[in-house]
Amino acid sequence: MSIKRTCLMAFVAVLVAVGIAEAPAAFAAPVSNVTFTTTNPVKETTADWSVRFTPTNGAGGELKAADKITVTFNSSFGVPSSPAVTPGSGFTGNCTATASASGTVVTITLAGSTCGLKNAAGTVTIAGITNPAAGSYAANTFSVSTTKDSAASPTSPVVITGGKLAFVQGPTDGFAGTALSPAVTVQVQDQAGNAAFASGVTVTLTPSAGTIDSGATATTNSSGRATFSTMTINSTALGLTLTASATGLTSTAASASFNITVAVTSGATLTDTTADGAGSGVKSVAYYYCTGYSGSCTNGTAIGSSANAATNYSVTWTGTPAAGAYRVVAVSTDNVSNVSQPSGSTPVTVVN
Amino acid sequence: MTRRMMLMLGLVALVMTGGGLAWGFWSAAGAGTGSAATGTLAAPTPVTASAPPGGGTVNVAWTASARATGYVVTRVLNSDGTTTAACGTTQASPTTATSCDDLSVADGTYHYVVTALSASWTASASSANVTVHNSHPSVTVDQAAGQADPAASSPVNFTAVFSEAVTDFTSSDVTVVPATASVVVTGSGTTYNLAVSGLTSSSSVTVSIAANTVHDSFGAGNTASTSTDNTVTYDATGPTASAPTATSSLAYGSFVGNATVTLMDSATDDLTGVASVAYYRCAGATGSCTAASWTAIGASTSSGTSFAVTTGAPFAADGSYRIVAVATDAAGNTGGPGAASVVTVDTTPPTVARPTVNGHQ
Repeated sequence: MSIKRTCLMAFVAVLVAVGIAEAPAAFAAPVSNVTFTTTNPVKETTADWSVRFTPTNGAGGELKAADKITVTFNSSFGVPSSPAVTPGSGFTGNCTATASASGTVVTITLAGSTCGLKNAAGTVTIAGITNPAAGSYAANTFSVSTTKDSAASPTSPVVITGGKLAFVQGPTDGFAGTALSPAVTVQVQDQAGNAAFASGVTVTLTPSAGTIDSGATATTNSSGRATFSTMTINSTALGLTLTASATGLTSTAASASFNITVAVTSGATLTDTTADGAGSGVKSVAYYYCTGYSGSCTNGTAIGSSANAATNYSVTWTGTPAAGAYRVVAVSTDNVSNVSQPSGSTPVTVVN
Repeated sequence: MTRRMMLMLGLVALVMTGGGLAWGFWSAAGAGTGSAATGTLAAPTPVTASAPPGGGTVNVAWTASARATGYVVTRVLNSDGTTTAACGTTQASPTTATSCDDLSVADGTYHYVVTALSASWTASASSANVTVHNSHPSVTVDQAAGQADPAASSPVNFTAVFSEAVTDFTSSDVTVVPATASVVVTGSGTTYNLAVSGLTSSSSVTVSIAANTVHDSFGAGNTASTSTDNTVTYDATGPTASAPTATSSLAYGSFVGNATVTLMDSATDDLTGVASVAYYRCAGATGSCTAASWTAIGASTSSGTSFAVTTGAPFAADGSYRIVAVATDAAGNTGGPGAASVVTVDTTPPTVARPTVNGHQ
């Protein structure tokens, strides 16, 4: 025995003698069967970690209210100062627990008049742990001890993986200005494609063209799923795709394509922005429609025309055709009869 | 008887003291003491004949001859010796005067013989040759060949053509209106050019030659000039063009589209009238538009259409243009460009966005 160890033991004995430290049971045995598991092994995300251990049998290892369980995480993990702790399997009675952390050492205090853990493996779940960077963390950097038993570490290293996003509900055709329905959902997954219960991850949807006017971001729930229930695109587009991304996670592949069109019923309002530069000025705008969402529309069916610049040449579309896919174009004529080519088309869906 | 003899002797002595030709005649009858008388009839020399040119009259004069009781005047045509009683005298009806006018004498060279009569005696004398020239040179004054009328520049040329050569035609013989103008006469013989210059304002220029101001070689004065057209309108001032009007089937304000543009102008001229109007354009809506920068559009001589010129379509490349008119009068005077009219060519259709449907594009 070295002199240093001898001195340390003597110092501890003094602390115990003066009442500053509690003396362990004489020659206490360590807990056994220690494991650290999580439903979210994804790096740099917030996870709930379940710590399972088996106290020594008999009264010597039994835990009751006011007893403490000390859980130590690898120092690369992030632990909140007062993490939520839930006694789980193995515990009996009306167990509750509170916890405080110092660094990555969490001290759990059991409560509940009938709470107890005896002769069985017990599990406590510690919420709000921030996973470190991906990697394999040595088992002996994790440990569990109790008021009754000394510390023990898991037998296997704790592995933190990279994560990725995946569409659960991809986008489907929708209408401009209306939230896409069904809502797009995105799941955080581990590298193996397993759902990772990474809560609080901010996921952002990015369209292949244009912009998402609202609801482009959503936060994952406790299941690691983000639901974009208000995602709205105000401009029409054909063949759009979405990509979901989140910091530290691999983005999804582009979604299947979808269309955003304008829902039209009889009485729809058509307007147009047109200009004649240094020319004689715009005299009128006429509107036409053709069947289908895309393609040119040079010989379309007339809808109507307007010479009222103050209303942006507003025309009310009555007598809409049968329900289906159409496109609408505008043709502008200036005051000296120069006629524009048909404009780009706006895809509409007649939903009479 | 003695007195008769003395008288006869006196007569003889008187005749003998006369000169020249003498006819002697004796009168003797009977026996006894007779007396004789002698005398002569002198020729009426000198005889002068003069013919003022153009008059057809020859003034014949002679010296009275003693004893002559009358005179007979005979005109002799030198070329063939034809004699003609002159001054209405005949043997039976001589004149007692010592001069006479031989009227209505035809052109030719003559000499006159005056015969003094005294009973059966005659004595004649001839004049020198006299030439009778009855005609007066006539003259026509007209615009010179090639002279523009109206004319925009001076000198304004006229041609005077005399019926015969004249010898003393000068600019002072020419009457010109306006009187302030000056005339330079060049030429000779029968044909002259009258160059009128010194014209200070637009006016009609008229040239004529008064009678008896120019003479032929015989001294006969001209008759007053006659003319077919001896007036040239001198126009020193160019016409005034107004701002052209531009019309098009595709017009909106000053804009015109991809269509023809018809330009018209109401140019005016104070004297000779507008002959043509030309149109020009300059790029831009402001500033002057002169030959230094303009581009010709076209010209018209049709006053009935207000000198309309129709352009192609489009009028020009897109943009604003100033259009000016330049008028030329019948005299060839060209006025300055009138005020500009602005035309903006617009062949570019509007730009148009795709329509907004129910507030969405």
